[in-house]
Amino acid sequence: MSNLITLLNKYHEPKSVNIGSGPRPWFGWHCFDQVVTQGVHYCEFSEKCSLNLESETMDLVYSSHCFEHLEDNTISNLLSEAHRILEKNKTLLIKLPDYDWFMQNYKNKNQTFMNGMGIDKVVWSWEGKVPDDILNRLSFMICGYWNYSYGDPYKKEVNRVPEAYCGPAKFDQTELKELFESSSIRKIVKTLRAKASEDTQLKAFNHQNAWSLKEFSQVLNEHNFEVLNTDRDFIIKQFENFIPDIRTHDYYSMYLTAQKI
Amino acid sequence: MDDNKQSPKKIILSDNGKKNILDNLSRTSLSSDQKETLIIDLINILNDERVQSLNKEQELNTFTKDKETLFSRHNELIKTAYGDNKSFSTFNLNNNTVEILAGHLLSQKTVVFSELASVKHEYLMVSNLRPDKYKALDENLIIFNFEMSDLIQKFHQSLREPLANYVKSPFSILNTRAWVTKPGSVNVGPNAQHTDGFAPGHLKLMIYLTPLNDDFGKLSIDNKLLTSASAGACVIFKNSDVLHNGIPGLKYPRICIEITLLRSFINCQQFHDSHPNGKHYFNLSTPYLKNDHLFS
Repeated sequence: MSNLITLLNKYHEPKSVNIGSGPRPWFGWHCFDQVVTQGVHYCEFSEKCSLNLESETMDLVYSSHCFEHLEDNTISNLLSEAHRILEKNKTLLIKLPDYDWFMQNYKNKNQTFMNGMGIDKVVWSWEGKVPDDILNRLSFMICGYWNYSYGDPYKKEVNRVPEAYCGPAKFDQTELKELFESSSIRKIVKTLRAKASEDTQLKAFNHQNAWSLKEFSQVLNEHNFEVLNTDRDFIIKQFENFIPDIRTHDYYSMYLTAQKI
Repeated sequence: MDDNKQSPKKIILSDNGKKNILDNLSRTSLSSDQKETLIIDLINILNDERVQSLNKEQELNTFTKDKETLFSRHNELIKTAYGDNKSFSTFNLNNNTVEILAGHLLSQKTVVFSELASVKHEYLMVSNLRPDKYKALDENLIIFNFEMSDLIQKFHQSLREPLANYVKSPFSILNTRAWVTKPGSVNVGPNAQHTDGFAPGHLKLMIYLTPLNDDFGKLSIDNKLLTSASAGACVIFKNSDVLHNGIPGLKYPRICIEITLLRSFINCQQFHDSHPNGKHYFNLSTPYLKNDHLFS
């Protein structure tokens, strides 16, 4: 009901912001994304973009499974923008893949934790290029990309040709194992991104960023946010009547609420 | 005898016109003779209005007690043929239709009530309020300058089916308007309990694009509270018989569309611009004569 939501938002100024909403406007929200759709503010996320809202006017800024798709400078800018538009002491809520959970499951040699992540849709393109195993699936979750031959999965324009590829950085498997077993999540993602960037046919990244809970809390602190809570169940309960997709991907997500300082 | 006074040209029902009316009367229980008498009475009423207008030429576009009497006579004929209506009835539009209407309103400009006072309409009577009333309306409501379009004409046409059981007779669509009621508004204008005081035979259809509940607002009608309804709730009612008022929402704006109907012997679409402050036609014959392939 995007027309109705847009009409309502025109006459009831929203006080909440969703960064990376997808093509779905919400009533009572300013939704921003890189999509052209009624009721969603179009915003090309970059290190220079602006959320076109007045400063210190919003009560809540929320983002769900968006930041892992963006590079560091863009995230820094968006956090600065979030800080700018929030009234003092108001809330930032970020939901990201729970990379600590992923890493713990990997270390515990869990064989099924990567099921249901949507990776099955792309593994056909890995044949003859990278093995379809837990490690590569995890690598793809942290940093994945597609090449020119693949098309554009976000526009649902996929070319099923042999050269097409949508997958993790093509690493030597021994090196990859060592990377995952000895490094922090930040180091892992930076290494994977650098390796993926060596592919001259890289068209775009899917995920390209990752943090542990501690690492992302540090990012928020650096942007003048004080982390208030990281208890998933508590946060879901607090916001479940207000944020429509708060429970989406809950079992493999980390949640952080932070206050503007 | 006044040589300057012309005899009015009589309104004549064409063969097509008679067929149209008889087709519409076919689902009534009237006998053939009764139908013939009814049609003669209808033409007499329309011609009486024409005589009135000619005799008081300067009052063509004014509404008088005499004209109200004609509406009353017409309404009695309608009731003879089709029966009376219940106080009100409800139905729902589907989400797709709500979306289409919301899309239309997104493209509409809004107007200021107080600036409407001087804006006349060719066919419709326009409400004339005190300046302080206009001010209160402007503070609490946002009214659209509702434009007719092919889309709205199509929508009007689509309403005939769901309205058929309640209205029972054919009907003319006179005016379409829309407004936003701000949350927490005071009870002014449509939100103060009232009957509309229209000439007999008129009905109103309210279409709520927002849900009917405490947060978005409700409708009180005939001492009943309409609440707990989803977006697209519609209420058709006898606006000059039944006490009614909108109840503003506690939190969110209430967005509604209002369509004014006149029970008539033929179906007639709204063929003119809407007026945000419009009431009903000055002249009963307006929808009939607009169908000039039926009447002349």
